[in-house]
Amino acid sequence: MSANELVVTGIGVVSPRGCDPAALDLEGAVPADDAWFDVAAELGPRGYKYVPPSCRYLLAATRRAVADAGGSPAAVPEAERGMAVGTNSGIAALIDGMDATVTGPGAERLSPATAPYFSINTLAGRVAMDHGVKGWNLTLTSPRTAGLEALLAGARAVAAGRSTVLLAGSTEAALPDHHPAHAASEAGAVVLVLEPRGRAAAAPYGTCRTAVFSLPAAEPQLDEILIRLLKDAPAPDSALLVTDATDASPLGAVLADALRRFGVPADTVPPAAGTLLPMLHLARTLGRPGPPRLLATTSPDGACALTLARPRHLPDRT
Amino acid sequence: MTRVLITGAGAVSGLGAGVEAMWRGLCAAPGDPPRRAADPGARMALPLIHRAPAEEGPGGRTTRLALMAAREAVADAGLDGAHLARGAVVMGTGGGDADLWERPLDPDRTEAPAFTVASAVAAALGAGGGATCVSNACSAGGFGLAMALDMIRAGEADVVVAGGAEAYSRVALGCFNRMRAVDPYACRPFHRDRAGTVFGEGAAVLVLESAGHARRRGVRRHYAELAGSGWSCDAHHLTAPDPEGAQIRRAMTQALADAGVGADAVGCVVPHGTGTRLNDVVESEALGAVFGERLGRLPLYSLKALIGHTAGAAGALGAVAAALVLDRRTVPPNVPLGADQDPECPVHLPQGGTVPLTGRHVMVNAFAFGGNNVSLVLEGRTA
Amino acid sequence: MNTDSTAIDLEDLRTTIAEVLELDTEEVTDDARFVQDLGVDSLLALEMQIALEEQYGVHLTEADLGEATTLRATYDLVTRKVAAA
Repeated sequence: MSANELVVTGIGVVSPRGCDPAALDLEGAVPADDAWFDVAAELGPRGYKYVPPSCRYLLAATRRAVADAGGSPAAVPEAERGMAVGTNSGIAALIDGMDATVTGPGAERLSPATAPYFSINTLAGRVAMDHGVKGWNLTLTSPRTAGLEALLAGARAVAAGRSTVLLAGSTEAALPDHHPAHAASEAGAVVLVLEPRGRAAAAPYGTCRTAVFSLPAAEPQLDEILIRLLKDAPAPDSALLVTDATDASPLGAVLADALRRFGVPADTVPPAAGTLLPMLHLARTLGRPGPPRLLATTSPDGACALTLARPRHLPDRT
Repeated sequence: MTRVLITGAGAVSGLGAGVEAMWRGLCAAPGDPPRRAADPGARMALPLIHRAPAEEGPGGRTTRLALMAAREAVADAGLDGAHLARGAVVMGTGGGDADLWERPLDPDRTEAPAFTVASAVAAALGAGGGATCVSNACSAGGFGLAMALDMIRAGEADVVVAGGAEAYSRVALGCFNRMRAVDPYACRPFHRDRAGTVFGEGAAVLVLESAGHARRRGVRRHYAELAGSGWSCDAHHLTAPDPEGAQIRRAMTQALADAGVGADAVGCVVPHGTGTRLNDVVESEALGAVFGERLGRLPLYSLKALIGHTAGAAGALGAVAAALVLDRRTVPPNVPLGADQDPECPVHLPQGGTVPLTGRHVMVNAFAFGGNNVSLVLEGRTA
Repeated sequence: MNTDSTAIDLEDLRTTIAEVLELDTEEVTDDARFVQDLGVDSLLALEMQIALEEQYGVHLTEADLGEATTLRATYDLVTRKVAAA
């Protein structure tokens, strides 16, 4: 366990499934609207009029995570703060509405102050402005996997010396009403604060490490990938796969078979439209003491991400 | 530290398909004006775009451009299926397949998920080492290459197929119109009358490979080495650069430090240079801070004047240009500015003919909305 | 058209601008400078232009917008535009 190893020192969640990481209700569907979110209570009475929902969620989750970490990101110079965010449908409804305007009354009817948000990296860019994140900022967008991927890309950037502290998370907003996947929409955000164990003031929630690969090309190397991911760590006692039913996609079955070879039983839950659900599971896993657990997600295009979450043991956070 | 070589390259832009077509275009510097988009839905004053010759086929236009560049790069590098099965893909794109997820004018079309560019490239190539789609707007392609560099250095992969791709997006262009950020004539970086940018379509992909892997599979030739990158974030404004330029300066100096060279080693810079009023001044000042009194002599190659601002592809197309400059030891001529160069941008833009490259390093800048900045440093072969 | 129907109510204008800028009406004093005192950037200025055009049925150029540096200056501008319409 090295002093450079990143530990999670803050967790922020805003979701219709709850805001207490340890008590998230991750069963079943939630309504795909914005009514659950109280922008004034989370962010204050003003300053967010032109900010789209996914950015508001990300701002709120970041605030919660930073507060939970005892404000530690603010204790390092701005150039030492980095942020990686995964989102796939974060601006889908915004773009849809903008395009209705452009193709209808024309681009002159677009709101100028909302116009910058056509670019999906402005979600994290806005958070960077509020929290002085000047080290670096990455927005990852692959379907389903981008949230877990943000953990990997962020940890890699810290390991390369690009910042000391990492904010990593995911945000999504409801898909347009007429979108066929609207009912499976996600709304909300998860942000984790990670910092080197050696400088963490707060007792950490635990650690996580992530691997990504694409199936079927990676199938012959799957054991090798798992060996590397599980190296030097207590074996996980279970896995949760956020993946399509095996009759719709073989990816989950391939992954579950590989995990079985390593003695790890895997449960499967259906995916939602965005990148958030695996991150909510990660937040809940890290939010309470327990054994190590694998969280994975697959995308129909073959992309897979696998995160080993190691929550604290009970005596660690006293 | 692991050395990372550029062993293959692919590109498509308004200059045509293929790296050789690009180099011919750079040397000829045709300076063709942008066209109005042939899109009945583009209800805006300035629907201007430099189109790239995307192949017909299924899938979104950005993905098709990305696939053209990726297939060229992989063939150029001579990678086979076994190498690719362990290879990773990182693709930068600002808007992904915008033609698929913007509100379709054709109501019968099915809706596709957004941002599948990287996974589509990985699936087409049979790459198993992960498919990362990075959407840092106009610096996405530069970040894609920089992330790939770090992945190889960290030992996560020996080969990464990385770059950026961007096609016409009605919403992006509409928003730029609304923000008064489109130049009515052309993309005119460093021009005294510049009035915004003009988008272009394109894709560029590099095969990045650890030197050890390249040696083991018998690679005899590489374009250049990707020697370093520097990352920063303005955290200042969603669209405007920080007028102080502190963070873009830091990205440049960090890229040099990461490459282990001083500013005096750089023989050419491919700037971000978009034609937006403030951006070009701030970048000129930051270049002056980094390169000192050499600013007036250091050749800049202002790529966007020729192909437009290719957004998520821009940093990657800039890197292909830089790799070719190093490979051919030649800086192509800039689109002529003459006396129209803005005195507030006192950079050196060689015009009228090619000039020989002096120095072994070329810097590429890519900056973006949200203040997402990245600088790359490429190192040429030893003679 | 008589002068009554073209007169601009200063308090209505104050409310409109406060809403666009997400400020309390008390903060939009007659002489607070939009850019220096109230944090207006180029995008918020365009946002204000739309609100004024919609509310008062006038057309404002970007040069006009440059003139509208305070509530009082905006009031004068819009009054003039409405009278000329």
